[in-house]
Amino acid sequence: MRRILLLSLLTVALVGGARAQGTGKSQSDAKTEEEVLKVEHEKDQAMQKGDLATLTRIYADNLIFVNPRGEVLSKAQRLADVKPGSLDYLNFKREDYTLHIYGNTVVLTGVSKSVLHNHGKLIRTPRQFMQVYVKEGGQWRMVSHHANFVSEDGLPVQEEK
Amino acid sequence: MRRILLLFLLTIALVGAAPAQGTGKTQSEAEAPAQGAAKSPSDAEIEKEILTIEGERDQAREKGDNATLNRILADDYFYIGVRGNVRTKANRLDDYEAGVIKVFSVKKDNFMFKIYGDTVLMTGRETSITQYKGKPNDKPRQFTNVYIKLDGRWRLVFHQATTIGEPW
Repeated sequence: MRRILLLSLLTVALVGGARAQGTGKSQSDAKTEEEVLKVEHEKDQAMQKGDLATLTRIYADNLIFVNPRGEVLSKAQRLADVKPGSLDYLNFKREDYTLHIYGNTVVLTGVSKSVLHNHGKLIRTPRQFMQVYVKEGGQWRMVSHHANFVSEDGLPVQEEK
Repeated sequence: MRRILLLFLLTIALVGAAPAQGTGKTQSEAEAPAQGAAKSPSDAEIEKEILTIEGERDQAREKGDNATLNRILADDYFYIGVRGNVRTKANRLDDYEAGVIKVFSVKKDNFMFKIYGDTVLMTGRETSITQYKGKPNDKPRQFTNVYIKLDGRWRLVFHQATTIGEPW
């Protein structure tokens, strides 16, 4: 009977140990960060190529896209905007990423220094952007984007909002 | 020997079932919108809760009530201002404490909510009259707020506002 009890306790200890290792918080966050940055990279590639199929997969159906002019675009409107001829990148540069992770929601920020033609207008002013990714059905999808032009004087905040 | 083997298999089965309930199910519930869950509040109820908190936050902004702002803003709250600057919760509270920011009146409309379980995206237009370092701002701004339920309470984790109609 003692052998039975020992064997049972040993089994519990082994399985319990594996579970504890699998739920390490920092490991989980690192994995999330890696996954989201991978999707973000795929999205950036697709934007440069005008690859609407990939963007359709990554953009959530309920996407809310706020551009630096304060215009609110739906997924369909954004996809129409990204078509080659409407949006053409002369170079593509994004940096200063930060990620805030809340389980299956990630708030990602960064600075875009890409130079592009948007409907024929040359844009070279840096933009500070925020994107929210949510994991749905095992896939990270972008549900929100909001971007602001960065003040050319580089000064800190001048206004409350 | 057969009794030992049976007990061994039973133990594995019981212990194996626990993580499936504790992690697998919770994770899949978290991934799916919570609207379908039996005890989850409806989208309308969530919107009402968020609007109540937004009302409290706006009143606190007008009064410079840092205690209320401290309660509503998550510890790692940050925001992107209209000039593309990134600021933290501490920056924001310091500005109110020092009277650098003044909010004379709050007006918001055109709200839109997107709810993903314990995450709420709220967008809208703001035409509040504010002042920062003596410089007034009454221009319409388009804003995005991200609320997340943390430890059972909705907290604002992110805010961004953009002046509407800025030239390209």
